[in-house]
Amino acid sequence: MKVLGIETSCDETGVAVYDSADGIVAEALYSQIEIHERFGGVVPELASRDHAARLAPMIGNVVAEAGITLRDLDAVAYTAGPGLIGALMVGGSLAASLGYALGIPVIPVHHMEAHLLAAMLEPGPPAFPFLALLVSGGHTQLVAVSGLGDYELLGATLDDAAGEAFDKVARLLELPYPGGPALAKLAESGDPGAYALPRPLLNKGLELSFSGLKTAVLRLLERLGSAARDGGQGAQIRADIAASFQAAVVETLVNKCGLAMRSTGLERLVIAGGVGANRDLRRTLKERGQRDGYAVHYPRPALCTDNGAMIAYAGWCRRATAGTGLPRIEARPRWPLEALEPITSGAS
Amino acid sequence: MTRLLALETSGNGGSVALLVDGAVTERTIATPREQTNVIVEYIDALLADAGIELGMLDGIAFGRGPGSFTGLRVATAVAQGVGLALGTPLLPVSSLAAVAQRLWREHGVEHSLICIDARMGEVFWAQFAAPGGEVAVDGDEHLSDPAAVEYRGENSWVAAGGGFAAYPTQLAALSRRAERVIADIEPLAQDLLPLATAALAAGRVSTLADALPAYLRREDAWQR
Repeated sequence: MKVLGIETSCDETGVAVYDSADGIVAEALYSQIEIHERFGGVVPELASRDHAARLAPMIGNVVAEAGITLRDLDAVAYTAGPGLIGALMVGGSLAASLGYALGIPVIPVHHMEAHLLAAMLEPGPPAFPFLALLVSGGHTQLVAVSGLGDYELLGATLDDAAGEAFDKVARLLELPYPGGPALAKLAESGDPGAYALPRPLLNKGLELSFSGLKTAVLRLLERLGSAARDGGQGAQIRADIAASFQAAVVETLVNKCGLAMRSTGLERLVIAGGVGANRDLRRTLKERGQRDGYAVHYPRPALCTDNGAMIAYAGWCRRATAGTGLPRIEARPRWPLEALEPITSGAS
Repeated sequence: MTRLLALETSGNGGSVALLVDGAVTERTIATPREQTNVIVEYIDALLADAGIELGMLDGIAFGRGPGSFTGLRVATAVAQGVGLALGTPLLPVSSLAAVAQRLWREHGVEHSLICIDARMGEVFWAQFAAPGGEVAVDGDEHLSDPAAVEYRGENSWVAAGGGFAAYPTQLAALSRRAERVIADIEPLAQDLLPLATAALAAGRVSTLADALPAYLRREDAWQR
């Protein structure tokens, strides 16, 4: 069975073909970084415009690269939410009409479910049940995954998502857009022990909070004043701040995962979402897993950030839930993960 | 005989129309929110009623704007999906011209100034002539402050579109020069059909990569 996956929930256009026999057979990703760079953040209208201009030709190219024609597809899956409403509508509209014209099922996919299933596309995929850390620019959640579609939210951020905190602190440090990866890069040349920054709610249950940490960095920069701006010394101070900030986020996430692993008795931890591409987080979680006796699974960085492959795969997992009637275009900017129904059949 | 499907979702609702052997059928969509729920269903129903299949179409026309950015991308992406799947020729048509076409069809208007609300304190507008019912833009389509809207010409003309209701004060002087003002009028899919038929006959067909909305508002409008 061959499923086309379409991702347009934010600032990346992703397209892929998943073949249940061969895995991902073709994929393409276009990042809109250059479009939003001068605005310092994603401009929803411009994101939608670019998806509308790029998506249809991109699908044609990916299907050709897979060595098939559109007629060979068995289903079309698309991100129906959560995400930017206008951007979601582009992918949904094109997916619905494409599926309708080809006479094949159209499958709306939950973006965060696709993220947490992305690890299944790697060799040695995790077996159910497992704990998932969903960590991106829009989400920071700990989810107990009992099976496909069977999710229990154990904890989440009370304010900023971890990726959002990275972006905001990057802006304080006047780093180029997108801030998160730029901050992680700067942290490589800094001392993570240089500044004592708070670890909010560190040992208090499974809730997380990152806005206080961002404020602490702001206060620190105010206190340091021109010393953090000027010359080679200022550059080193900024690198030290970046490293100290990253260490605080990583320690918080790693501790919360450890706490959740202990309280649930689960044996496998799966990392998903854009911040899951952070090298420091991956390394520290791996070490902690080895120490405490649980397996840590994370997909390669390209499968952590938004992509079409995970949507195609999640669509295949949800193929049994596709309606048989005419497709409606679904776009749900807010869509809690726990609202999903467990998949009782059709899973591998 | 030509078989064309037309999609128009740039206004406050929208419509889907089908032309088969000279006969036009149409379904209207009440609100923008309804567009995503019913557009595929309405296409399917019109085709079924006419006894034809999607693959038998000679082209798909869509209102390419200007208008609601979110809305006009629905029609655009739905047209693109069919074009991608079946290779059906795509025919983008101005949504302002569709209003001018409707004015001619319903009121026999040959000269019009169409002006619709573009939000952010601006309007989309253009002047049209329709000698014998063949609507053509006279000059360019504009995005501007309502105060910059003008009609050039000595003939009598009709002012139409939601812009005249949204900015009654700024457009008052201009409205007084018009033979009449019809503010309560939206583009309809059926009025894309004559323009699309002409475009198809002239070979003015778009590829997937250039069958795109005409936003008029440039990207730097979002500069903070």
